Amino acid sequence: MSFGTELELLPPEETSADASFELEGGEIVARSPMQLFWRRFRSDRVAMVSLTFIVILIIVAIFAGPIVSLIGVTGPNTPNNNCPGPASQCALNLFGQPTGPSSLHPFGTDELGRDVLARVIYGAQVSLEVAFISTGFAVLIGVTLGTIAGFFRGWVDSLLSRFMDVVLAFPVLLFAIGLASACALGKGCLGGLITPGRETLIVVIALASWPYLGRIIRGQVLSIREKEYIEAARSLGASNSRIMRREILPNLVAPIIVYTSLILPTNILFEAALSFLGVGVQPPTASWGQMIADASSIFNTAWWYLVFPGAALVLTVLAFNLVGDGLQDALNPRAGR
Amino acid sequence: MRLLRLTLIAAVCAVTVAACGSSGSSSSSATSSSSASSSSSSSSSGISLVGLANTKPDPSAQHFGGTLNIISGEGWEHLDPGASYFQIDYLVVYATQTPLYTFTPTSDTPQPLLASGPPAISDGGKTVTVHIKSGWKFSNGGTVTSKDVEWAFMRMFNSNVQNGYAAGYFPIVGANPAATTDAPISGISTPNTTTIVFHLTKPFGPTMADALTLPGTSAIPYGSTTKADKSSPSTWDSNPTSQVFTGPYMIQSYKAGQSLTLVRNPAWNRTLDGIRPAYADKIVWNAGADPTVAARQTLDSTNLLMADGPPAAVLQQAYTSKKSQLSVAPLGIYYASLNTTVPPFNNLDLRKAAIAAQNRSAYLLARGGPLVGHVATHFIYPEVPGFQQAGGDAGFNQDYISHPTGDMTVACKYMKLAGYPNCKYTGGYGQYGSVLIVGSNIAPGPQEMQIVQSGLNALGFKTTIKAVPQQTMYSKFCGYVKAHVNVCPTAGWIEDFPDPYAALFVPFSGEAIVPINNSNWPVLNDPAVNKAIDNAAAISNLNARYQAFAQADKMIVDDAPAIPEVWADNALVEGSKVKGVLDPWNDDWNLSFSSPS
Repeated sequence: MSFGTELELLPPEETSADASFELEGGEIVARSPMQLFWRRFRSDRVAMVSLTFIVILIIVAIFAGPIVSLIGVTGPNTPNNNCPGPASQCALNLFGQPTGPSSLHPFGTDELGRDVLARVIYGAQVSLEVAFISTGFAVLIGVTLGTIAGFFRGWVDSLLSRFMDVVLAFPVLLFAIGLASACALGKGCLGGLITPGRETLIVVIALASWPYLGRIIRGQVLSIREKEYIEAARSLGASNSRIMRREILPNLVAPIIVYTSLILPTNILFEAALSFLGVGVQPPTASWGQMIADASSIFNTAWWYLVFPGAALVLTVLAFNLVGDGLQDALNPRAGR
Repeated sequence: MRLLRLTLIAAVCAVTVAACGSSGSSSSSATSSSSASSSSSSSSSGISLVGLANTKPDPSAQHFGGTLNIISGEGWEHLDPGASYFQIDYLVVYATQTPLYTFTPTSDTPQPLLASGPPAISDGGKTVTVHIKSGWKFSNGGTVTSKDVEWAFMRMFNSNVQNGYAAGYFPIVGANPAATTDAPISGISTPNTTTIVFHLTKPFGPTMADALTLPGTSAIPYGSTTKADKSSPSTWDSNPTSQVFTGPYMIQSYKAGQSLTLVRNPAWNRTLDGIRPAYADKIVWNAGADPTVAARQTLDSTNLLMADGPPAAVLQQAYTSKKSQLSVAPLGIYYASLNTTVPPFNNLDLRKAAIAAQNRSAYLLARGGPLVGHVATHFIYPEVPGFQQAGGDAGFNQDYISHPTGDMTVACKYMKLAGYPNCKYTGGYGQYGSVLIVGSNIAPGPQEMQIVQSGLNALGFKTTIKAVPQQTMYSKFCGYVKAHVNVCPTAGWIEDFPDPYAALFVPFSGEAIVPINNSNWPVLNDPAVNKAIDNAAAISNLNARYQAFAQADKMIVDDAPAIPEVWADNALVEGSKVKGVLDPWNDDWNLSFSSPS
């Protein structure tokens, strides 16, 4: 059996915190792998704090509109319309320069008088949406092709592995810039399939990041396919697809979870980079990368416009990385011992 | 005048409108009061112009010799005098070539340069006679004659040369703006080597006299460009170092968009010239710099002149801590053109709604605030005669233009008139599937585009923004009629000479529309407007003339072909020791009058 509830007998030195059983009233209580995982993960305080941050971020992104209204700042795409006017209402000075953090605009404003806090909150929507969806597609493609490559080996493995190498060597940034430029007008390219914006961003990021997972999964499958239970399943007449689905895939859950959590922050940065270069979401939609790009020319006089979206990006990526580390430790407690 | 290369730099005149002439401050009380209006609005907004740099010539304090260093964000569009029509190009062309007449830093009436005296206008304004100076030399040693001036005019009407104003300013008998060769023009005669006579199709003499200051009137050796002008566009423009020069300087080296070096023209005669001192021995110009970096570098330097205006952030720094290195002068107008020939803005009510919804105050702030202009209400601007007759600052009080921060109630009224009772646009679009907004990718172009976009989105228009380099914006989008761009929000215009004809004809008359290098960006072709402009141009009595042009201005505003955003002033920065001299008519440095020290 490859998966399921089990009684885990650990060496004596591991019985204190990691025991899969406890004596309760003199009886042995079994713990499922999920429970074991959660116990280990929960004991990692850094990972828990990071996870909490991510959950809050997701909630903020989902409920961006009501939260912005609750805070009482102007919307993300609403230029300040009270200029020139009273200083308390006008977000731009006499030279059209943005004002810094204030009670009216806690994170200051940008050069159009738009509230930076609101744009940071709405920017989280773009970053998380693009990162999650593109990572999901990358995982789907990477796991599928990696499993096929590792399982069948031979010419199938060679073909798929070389294909992954080609994709990894491809200059994705240049491709994305070229795509945005070529398909920016009218109905875009390929009959409207490709136009600059969120959808194209998701596709580009997914296509660029799936080989990382594909190679890792391929390596795992190469190892798993030699296990006895695989041989047993084969001797019982199981088809290749059944073996991949029912025997191999369940054993890939741990590495999939871990590496997904590590690809996510990379894709968040990727989205920010593409937006910085102007090939991501289009104005006036708020995006952290685009805000950082806009801020770079006025940093000397409007530090807040760079600092707050930059900090949001850094904290988000850090949180995902720390959660990924925590998952890795929790799913593979023997690593590093 | 020219398109202002305004987009180069945020706050100021970066507009790349076709070059326009003079500062227009001379001949009418209207003009002077207009200028006063502009400066008084600055002081009432909390901005003081006291302590700014002195940009007038000062022969007693300026020295000959040395190298003048220029820096800019944008490069040059056309250095062929026949094609040149951009503000920044004029700095080079007026230093290396010699038109018949010129404005100077201290005079806003045309002064004879290649000409030996004022033009003689006869036959009820239908004949203009110009005598040129004897002994003027080309840089290749040849002597300039009236035939060489005739050649310059023949080139201007060759569509391969892509001149943007010939048809409008030189209604010469026999001139064919659709010609594809340097064809002789029957209405031009050269009875001797120093006389050229123009026979016009209409009584346009007084207006044409001002237009003889344009760079296309610079003499070119007869027949020398025949081969180059057979290509479209003419290749005379692509290698400026191979041109022949008549000005105090000649182009020694040139890298498009990057660098340019001018050295003294050994054939130039200062005494014969009589106007341009040409202090520097050499002029070195580096283009393509980041505007913010270039502006800061200039302010920290001793010897740099920045040819573009500084971005708003640096403008503030210059105003607060280096005021003596900052200058401000009346410039022109910025507007957002609305293409009147393609949906959705081929509908007059939709155009009015779009104007009503616009926050023009935000646009002014994006350019740098009241230091660099004030909100516009019509298309004759403060330094142009006729401004007061056109209502001055208040304009004609159309409801869709009366609210600088926009008025959605008025916008909604026009949306309903256009057939959209919910005040949201649900109709069709042209080939782009949305309202295509194309502007410069250099600040404040992106901000301006977003401000215009914001107003359109509020009315339910689907919009796409495309930020491109300045040159691309003109050559492939806004200046290319077949591109059918819906909105060009970073348009600007300076008058070619101090007359309302120069402010209105090229940007808004249907007779000025050309397929390439077009400056009538809205592609407005209203026969009533065309006729009003033509009729006004034939009036010689100044007051009646300005009244007639004011009426034409009102008709244009009623047609709503563009959102009049800002009547702009130009701010420029310079190093602490260099002596930059401004041309008020071009609102930029005059390289022949500026000196390294």
